[in-house]
Amino acid sequence: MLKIQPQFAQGIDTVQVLRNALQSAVELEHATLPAYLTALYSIKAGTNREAAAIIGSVSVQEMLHMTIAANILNAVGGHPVIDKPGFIPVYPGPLPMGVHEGLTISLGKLTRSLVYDVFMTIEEPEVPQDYPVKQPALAMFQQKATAAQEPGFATIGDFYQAISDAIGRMGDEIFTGDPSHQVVDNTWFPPDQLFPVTDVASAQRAIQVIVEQGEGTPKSPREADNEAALAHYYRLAQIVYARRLVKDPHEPLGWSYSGAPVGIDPAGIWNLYPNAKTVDYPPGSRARTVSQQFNTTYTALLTALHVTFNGEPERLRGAIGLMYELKLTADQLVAIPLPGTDYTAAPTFEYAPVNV
Amino acid sequence: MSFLNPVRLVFSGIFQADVSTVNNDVRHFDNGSFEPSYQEFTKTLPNGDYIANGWWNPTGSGAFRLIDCKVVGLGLADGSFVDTPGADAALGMLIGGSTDRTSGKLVDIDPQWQVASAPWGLDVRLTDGKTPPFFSGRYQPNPFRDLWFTRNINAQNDSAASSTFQSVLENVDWADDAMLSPFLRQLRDATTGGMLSIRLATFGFIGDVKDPRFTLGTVVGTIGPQLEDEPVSFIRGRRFIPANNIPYSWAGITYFSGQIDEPSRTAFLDLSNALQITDAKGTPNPIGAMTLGILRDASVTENTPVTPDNYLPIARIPYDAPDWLARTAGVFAAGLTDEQLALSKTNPLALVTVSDTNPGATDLDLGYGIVAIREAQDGVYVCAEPLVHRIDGAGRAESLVYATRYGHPVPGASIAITQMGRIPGQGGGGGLDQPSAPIPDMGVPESAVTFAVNGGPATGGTIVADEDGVARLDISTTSPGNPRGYIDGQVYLIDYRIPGQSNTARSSFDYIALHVRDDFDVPADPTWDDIAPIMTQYGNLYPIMSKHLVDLGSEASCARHADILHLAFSLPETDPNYMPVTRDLSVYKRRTILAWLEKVQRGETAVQARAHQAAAPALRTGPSGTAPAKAATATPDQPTAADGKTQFAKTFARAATRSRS
Repeated sequence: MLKIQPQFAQGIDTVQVLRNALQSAVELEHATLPAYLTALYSIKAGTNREAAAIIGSVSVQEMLHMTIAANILNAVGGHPVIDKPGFIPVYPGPLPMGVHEGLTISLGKLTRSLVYDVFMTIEEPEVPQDYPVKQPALAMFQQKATAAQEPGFATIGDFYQAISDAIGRMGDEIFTGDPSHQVVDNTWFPPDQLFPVTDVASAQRAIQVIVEQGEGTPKSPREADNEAALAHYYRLAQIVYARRLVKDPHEPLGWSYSGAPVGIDPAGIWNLYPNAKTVDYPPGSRARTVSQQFNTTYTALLTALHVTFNGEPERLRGAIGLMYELKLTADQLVAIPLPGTDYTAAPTFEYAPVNV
Repeated sequence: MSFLNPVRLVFSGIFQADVSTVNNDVRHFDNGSFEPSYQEFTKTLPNGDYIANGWWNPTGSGAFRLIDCKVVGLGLADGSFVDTPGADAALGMLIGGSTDRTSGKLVDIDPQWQVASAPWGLDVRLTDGKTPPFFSGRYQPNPFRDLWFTRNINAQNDSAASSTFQSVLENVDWADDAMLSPFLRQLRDATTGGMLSIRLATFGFIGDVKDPRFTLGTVVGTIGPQLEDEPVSFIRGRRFIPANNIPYSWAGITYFSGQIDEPSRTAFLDLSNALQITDAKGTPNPIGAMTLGILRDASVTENTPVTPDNYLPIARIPYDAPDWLARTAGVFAAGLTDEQLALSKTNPLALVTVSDTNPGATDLDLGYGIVAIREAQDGVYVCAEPLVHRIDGAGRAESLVYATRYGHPVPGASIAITQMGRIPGQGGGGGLDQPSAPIPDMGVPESAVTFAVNGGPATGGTIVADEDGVARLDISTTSPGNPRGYIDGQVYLIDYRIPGQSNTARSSFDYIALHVRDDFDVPADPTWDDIAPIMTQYGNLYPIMSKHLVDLGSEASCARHADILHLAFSLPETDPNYMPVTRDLSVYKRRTILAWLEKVQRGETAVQARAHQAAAPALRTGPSGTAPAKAATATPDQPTAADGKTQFAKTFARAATRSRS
């Protein structure tokens, strides 16, 4: 379970503090995406499909969580701010709000250690279930130790719980936002996951979606309302343990990592230059050109989302178009060899409102 | 006036044309004979032979972008021109694409007519890197003009090519801050209809995948006011044409336009695309001291010497000054005396060069110079827009044909309209192991295209301009009946000219081009079998889609991505995310695809259930959920020639010279 500076989970006692907390939630949900997407983009087209599907599905749900947080913020009369340079964290670096001191989010190619050290830490439930790994060859992978409860730090769960509680205390009268700002295009997410936030009940239900998709419930690795999908932590663990997590009546917990293989074919992974910055690529080089294009498209995407979440929800469709353009640009970028190294170019996720 | 206006903004920088090239060979549209190798780069063999495969950029995305385009100069209403930083807030700003939408796309009308490419969904804005932009608008998709392949004398084929894109930005928004710039106030006050006139000139394109500047080229641009009743895609003014051969005069100058603005007594020339260069940056090929002037004797021809008796010089053109092209975008302006203004109304303009050697000159140089290129005979210029129409089966379209003499309308001008008729052999490729499918003929049946001539339909004839010198070409079509077999519809070229105009009077590819789509019965309850041939063809031709996003030839993949496909196929054609990027799908086939996708979305097809089951937990994939795909396209082991347009043009020239004369 990620830990955050306690002040973020305490003292949410005015609407303005609540709005600040929700803006932080938007930033936090976004902050993991460049790391997930970099790992996803490092997978060559048509290879490592299981891992790609897992990371892709987690990424898509982080986008949902960002949307939900923005919907709640809009509902309580706030205005999500997404199109500013400071919105993008510095990589490598910590998550917003001092989340999990010591955890460094890096941009790199898909490896088991990246998934284990970073992704599973991001998504770790408050009480992770240590489902057994039945593959002897993988016994060297130890289960992630349950995080010690460090005094003085709250968890992400606490953070969302504090928001939920504050909303409950403040009541329906804080829902002064324009309902037409709600982003609820159910083409992309079903109505039980993405719905208008208009009052205490819908806001608290929306927060529950975020928490349960990320962490599952204490009793089950599955999200409560979606039998088909595992919570992120367990979904990602399948990559580390190289097996699908399946029901297993022989195990006391009822589950084990003993399903179909989830391998990583190293030939299907681009050897991305880790934590790259555009200035690392020589001026005039193809890597520089395409990296700048990537950043311009990424910034355009943030701008499109900003517009979407600030009164023009129909613009979500255009934003989704930009997500595809971003992927195509990334696919070009990661195939560019960096001369004199064994690396290929990597996306840098830097703010670039103009392509220069 | 358009961009040839005292009030104008000049920018220069880089353009990107990441066009896909599998569709450069029409034979690749034949699903039956399509080979996976057609999705690979061209392969050059050690002995110099090559296998064209999918040409020079099979994984192109279609993106058309303006990159690092800086505002380098501003023309003001008083005729002055400023380029020192700080002289106006707009100087040093950037002309860029959209800040919050997908990139524009560069789109051909058809593999059998690749010389009318147009940007679609291209937003253009003036920005300092912060929002909101000072102004922004959407480029109206008009095709490029005056394409030639011999501009850079030190390059070959597509890299040597150059062309102009003239159009308007529509629905232009202005920021309040823009009014801080005196220039922008003048521009906003001068323009009309919520539009701005824009002209790009593009050259120095790199199509070699091994080059760091792959898919990039040089662009110079000009933005000015768009006035009422002006054409949007060309200058209705003074037309300079090579005398004897297409596409350039003896001095290496190709077709270009100018205009004389009587209120400001200024002669404007658009030399952005006209003069030969020696490198990709646009360094001019020196052809001596060049002046703009007026031929007192209208019979003086190109490549003959002038004298003070038969030539009235106006001004020296500093085309050879350092970075002149990048600093001016090739727009030259010169004030006129009373005598010059009066003479210009009745006599042809000319460029005259004086050089030590006068290479190519056939007559004695008397020291006053040689006519490098001159205005058309009698100053006659005929030009039409729109130049491209896409029509679904039985339909109608209209182009306006503008007849002009010495820059003034020719009321009642007769315009001869001729279908080019059957043209064989267009849109194929070269090299070894060529595709086995036959190349279909263009332009037949001619009966599918008729024009309103003397009140009745005819496949050709003469139309007459109104009192403003504008003739309406009213085009009616019927379904051509699938004459090309494996590729939808038919492409028709329409020649238009004032009777007696020479072949060289109009540039190489100046035809009105129609893509008339075939009728297609939309099934009430379409199955995958109904759309499989269409989707498979797109999957074959656009590996960027099929390998990276959605395997369009796969029923399961299309079903899994039904939501995003439905969105893309149901957007307006002008949207940058519209599918297909190529804008070549008939409304009938589009309805069929949408109907099938809607069935999937309603859960009415068996494959839909399977697809969703198989996709869990990536149940609703976004862009990050990669589609099933074939192996990545291999990087070629040899540099490939960027000869797409060149290849097309060479083949067309062979056919056209015969049928056009």
